[in-house]
Amino acid sequence: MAQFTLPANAVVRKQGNQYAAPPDAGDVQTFQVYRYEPDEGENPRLDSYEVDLEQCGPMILDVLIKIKNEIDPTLSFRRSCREGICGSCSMNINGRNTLACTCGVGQFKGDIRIYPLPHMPVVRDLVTDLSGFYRQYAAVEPWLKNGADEPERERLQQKEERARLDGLEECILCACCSTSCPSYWWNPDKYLGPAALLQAWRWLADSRDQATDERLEYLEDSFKLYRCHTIMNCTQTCPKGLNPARAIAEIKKMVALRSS
Amino acid sequence: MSGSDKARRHWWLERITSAALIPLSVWLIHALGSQSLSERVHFEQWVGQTDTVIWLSLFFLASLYHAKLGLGVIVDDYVGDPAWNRAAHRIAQLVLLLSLVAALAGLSHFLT
Repeated sequence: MAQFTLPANAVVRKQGNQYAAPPDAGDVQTFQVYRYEPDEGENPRLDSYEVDLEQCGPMILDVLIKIKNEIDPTLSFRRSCREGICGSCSMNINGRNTLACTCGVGQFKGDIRIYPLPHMPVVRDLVTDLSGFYRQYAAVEPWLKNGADEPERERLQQKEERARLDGLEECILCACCSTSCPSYWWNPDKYLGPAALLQAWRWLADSRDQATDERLEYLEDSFKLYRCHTIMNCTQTCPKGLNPARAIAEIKKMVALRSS
Repeated sequence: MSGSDKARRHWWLERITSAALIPLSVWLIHALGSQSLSERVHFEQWVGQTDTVIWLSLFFLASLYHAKLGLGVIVDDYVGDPAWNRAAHRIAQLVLLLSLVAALAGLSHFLT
């Protein structure tokens, strides 16, 4: 049966450590950050950090870096490019999955709550275990399959053929979409999830790829593909503005047309 | 039937039954909303007509089959244990089958 409540050791204690802003701070904003250290054997907690925004960059990632550098060096999170390209700093900010580096502090009023991506095993604090997510990505074999002899130069496409890949190849695998999907929450081991399916469609839509039948045969399954119930959380939350729900619908249409 | 055929058939049937329910629902709402059915005797006359019985039977068939498909999806989503999953499917199917039998029996009662 699906588990609708958190296990006892995963319930978040609301009162964690409090870190007050310095007395001379100007524009103070409170950030409540999920903290969890599995080795301590304690439940997760929400630590509260008061940050002087006048002494900090404008993005949530700037705040997290300031907290780690100046307030609490024990805070763990992933980050790399700080400009929405690498997908490392995906997390749940005020209830929405997004990238901390492209999420401005100014758009929120009141305390800002920062959690790890939902329904994923937490390694520590804001760092989740994405190995299952990457396995699903690898399962759709996201590379060109073309049985023809190796050409002497690149395989050419018409402009229209290349345009079909717009909105597909920009995915940065941040996992915001998959971890916002209730179907993925309930069946993360069997449903491929929006991110992997977007990538599956990226190769199905590619005019150079010749493995359409093979790809569709793999995808055509009650769980791998058809667990998508068009909830659209994936499209709503994608920080790159992509539309995984449409990609999944296109795969279903392709399956239906192929078999009719 | 293979797993992939089953999945594809399920997807088609969901769409066919939901498409069929659009005109059937419009017809039913329009018919029930008409003034003449507000009195019991007029209602019984209406239900007793052959074309009404045909359309209502189609509505019950389409809606309950669509419900069967939808409930099956919900069961597969939330009931992971194989034994409980099978049991939940059987119970849902039985309840919907009994509902269909009751609906058709009711219609045949008015027809006679």
